Amino acid sequence: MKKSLALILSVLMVLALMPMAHAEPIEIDYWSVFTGADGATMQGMVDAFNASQNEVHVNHTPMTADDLYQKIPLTVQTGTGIPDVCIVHIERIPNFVANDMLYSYDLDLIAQAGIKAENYNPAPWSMTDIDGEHYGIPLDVHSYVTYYNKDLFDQYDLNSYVEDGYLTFDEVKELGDKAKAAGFEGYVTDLGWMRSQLLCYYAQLDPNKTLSEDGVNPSINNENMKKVFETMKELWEGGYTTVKNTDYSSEFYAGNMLVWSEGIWMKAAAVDAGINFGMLPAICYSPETCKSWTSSHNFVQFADENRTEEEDLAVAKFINFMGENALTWAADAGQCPVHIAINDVADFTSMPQAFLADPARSNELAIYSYRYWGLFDTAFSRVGWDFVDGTISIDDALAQIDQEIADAIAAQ
Amino acid sequence: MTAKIPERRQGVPTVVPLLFAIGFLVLFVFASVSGVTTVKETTVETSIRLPALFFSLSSASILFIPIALVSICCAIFAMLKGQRNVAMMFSFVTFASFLAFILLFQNESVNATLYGRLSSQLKDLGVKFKKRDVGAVISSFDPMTYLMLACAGIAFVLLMPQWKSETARRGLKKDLLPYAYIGPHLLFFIVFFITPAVYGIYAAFTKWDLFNEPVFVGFDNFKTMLFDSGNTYYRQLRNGLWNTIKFVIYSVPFCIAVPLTLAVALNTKCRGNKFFQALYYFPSLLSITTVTLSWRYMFSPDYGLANKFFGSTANWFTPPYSWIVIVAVTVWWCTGGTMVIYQSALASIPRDQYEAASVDGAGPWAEFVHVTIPGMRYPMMYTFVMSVVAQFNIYGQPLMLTGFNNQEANAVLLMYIQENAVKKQVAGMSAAMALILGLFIMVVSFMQLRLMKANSPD
Repeated sequence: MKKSLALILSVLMVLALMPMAHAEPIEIDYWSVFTGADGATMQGMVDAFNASQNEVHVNHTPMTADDLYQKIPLTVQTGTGIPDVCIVHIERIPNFVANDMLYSYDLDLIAQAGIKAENYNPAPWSMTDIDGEHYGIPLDVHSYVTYYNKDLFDQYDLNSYVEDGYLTFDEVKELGDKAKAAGFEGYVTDLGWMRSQLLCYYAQLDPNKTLSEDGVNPSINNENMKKVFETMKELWEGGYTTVKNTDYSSEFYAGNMLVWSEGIWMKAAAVDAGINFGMLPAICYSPETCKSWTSSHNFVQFADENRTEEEDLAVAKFINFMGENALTWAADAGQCPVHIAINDVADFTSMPQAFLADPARSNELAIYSYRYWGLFDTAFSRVGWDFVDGTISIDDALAQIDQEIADAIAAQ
Repeated sequence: MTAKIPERRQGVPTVVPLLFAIGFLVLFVFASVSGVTTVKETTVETSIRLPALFFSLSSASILFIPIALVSICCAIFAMLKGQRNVAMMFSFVTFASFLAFILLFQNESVNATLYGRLSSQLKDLGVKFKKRDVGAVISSFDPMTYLMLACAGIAFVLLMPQWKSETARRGLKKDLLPYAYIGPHLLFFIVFFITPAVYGIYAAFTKWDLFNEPVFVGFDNFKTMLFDSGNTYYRQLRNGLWNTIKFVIYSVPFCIAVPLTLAVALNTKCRGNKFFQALYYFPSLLSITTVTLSWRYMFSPDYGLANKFFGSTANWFTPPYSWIVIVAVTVWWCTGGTMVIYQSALASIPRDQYEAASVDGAGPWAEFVHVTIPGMRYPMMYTFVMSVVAQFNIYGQPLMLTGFNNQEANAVLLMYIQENAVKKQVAGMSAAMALILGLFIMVVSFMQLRLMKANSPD
């Protein structure tokens, strides 16, 4: 009898303990567009989240942006292998929404994990409010900015040009002339990433950042964009820029360039190159109208009917952790986190890109939104810098961009 | 050789299963699958015919449909040829693959095509919902679908041999053994070649953004590309095809001449020839990415070896130099494989032909022209055809070396095809471009093969 009782009790104990023994964490599949050094940094942050608790385990799959944007339509269409959460660029979100590929966030649900609109920089947050629903939670903003070589600026006595924290086109020409007159033989500035660079200047001339008058048909071929193209052609003709296809980054790393137009994500590479540099907003027509092209990595959830609310809450906890612990993202990846928590971190406020997180200067962030951003990007980038040397005229280039986008929309 | 069994010993006449097999094909045109869901007290229903579902490319289970279709066609062909055992096997494959399609389709998550149609209806009715709300789609096949399954099953049963007969069993083994060997390859061929090819050809006649169901538009894509001179795709087709042809013209002669020269040089059995053979073959082992990135550094206008060596400031990635770089990289990469073929061909030329030529007073050049070249005519023809086909498919070299820069001076057709399909989601137009390129390569290859045939000894 005793033996039987002991056996029954033992079995009951084991059964009682079983749920504890099998309390598996919720598995979350997370895809990101971060590869290389950024990918390693993101993996480190994911690992930190996984180590911080035992309720949720995130599996991070990094891939290039091109790969991700190719895979996503197929995986959502077939309904198999859809990630629970995914990083996409903010400009892509309107098209995903239009194609019914995204779930909007349940604001009450994510609030349970601590995610609230007031905790984020309003510029990127508001861009993903579409038709009364909210679709993206920003991780960062990343802008196209201006680096300058402090040592060369000291050597050629150019610091007066950057004292106000801005650099205008006229100042670029002046400082270039001054440095060359003093014997500088390198490049003044670069023909960089054409699309991002020109969109900085376009936003300065057209604060509405109009890529389409009616939201569908492109209207790139306009006077403001023409002026932007003419500005760069003028710089090239004056000998202030690199030539086409130059490895402009290497020129800056080698100390052969005074002013480098590049994204803030290249900060770590510039540090590794041992360059003593400063960072400013994009080169501008005037400080009053200065704007820098900006994008934002956003956490989104693609439509998956199999995902549960429990998993959605787990995803929200993960996203909130990433927002509150984004210093690594700023320090190692060079990005600018948008969770307000970062503004209280002294280490961040001393970083060169911190000015992008200043709420008082949020109007300097030029975030574009156009449903056919992907088509615009391809058509715009295709022209490249061919217009500076007359390989194609500016008028033809702008007409070609509009035509290519319109034809692609018609053929879709 | 198929074992022929007298009709009287086969049971049911072949014409009966033949009718069932044809019935399978006929029913395929009319059978349909339907879906119904209720969201926020609104019920919507839709149905789609199997051929439309087949071309909707909307789920993995659909891959079993082409297997079933190809198999039933093979079964019909085998019955017409009087090969009952083979027909039986294909009928079984049809039955099994169609059953797999039905079971998997019903068990997979909401089919994208059904979802798309249902969600459109819900939107039209003003219902706000998430995809998750449409999760309870009940999909069901109509009776004709099950009739199709029955047709394939009955055809299989009627074609079964009389198992008690030793002769029948031996005939079965003899007839089906070859298919056991080619079966796996055949399966992969259907799934990974026939099916994408059929889909690709169909897609060429659609407007398709990859997000939604393709919409059949007939010859519109071809009309646009071939006749609408103001359209982007008209320009892309002409520029891409012309650049591809230019590349073939520039590169193929070097892809023949350089390996031939190296093979002849190595055939002299000079000291270290094995080392040089390995050295020349080595680039063929590298991926195109490795090759182009390496050469990109070498031709870099600022830091490249080429400009340092020549004391030049040329920008090798802009015209007129860019084709030189692309061709040089291609030849360097492709030489090894062709060279090995030529070495093998050189080894098979009888030595006495050289000795006879030598006795007649022929020098090295005369021997090369009158002995070596004629002796290698067929391997050279083969490599010529293969090189032309391979170079028509050029993609990686211009993409990574020059991209679309310089007003697309080096943009080849495959670059446009890939970009339109994947990056811009203009998949219908892209498929039409691919079809035109495929037809072009087929015509060129056909002409070359005719040329080879005309030059053959018999």
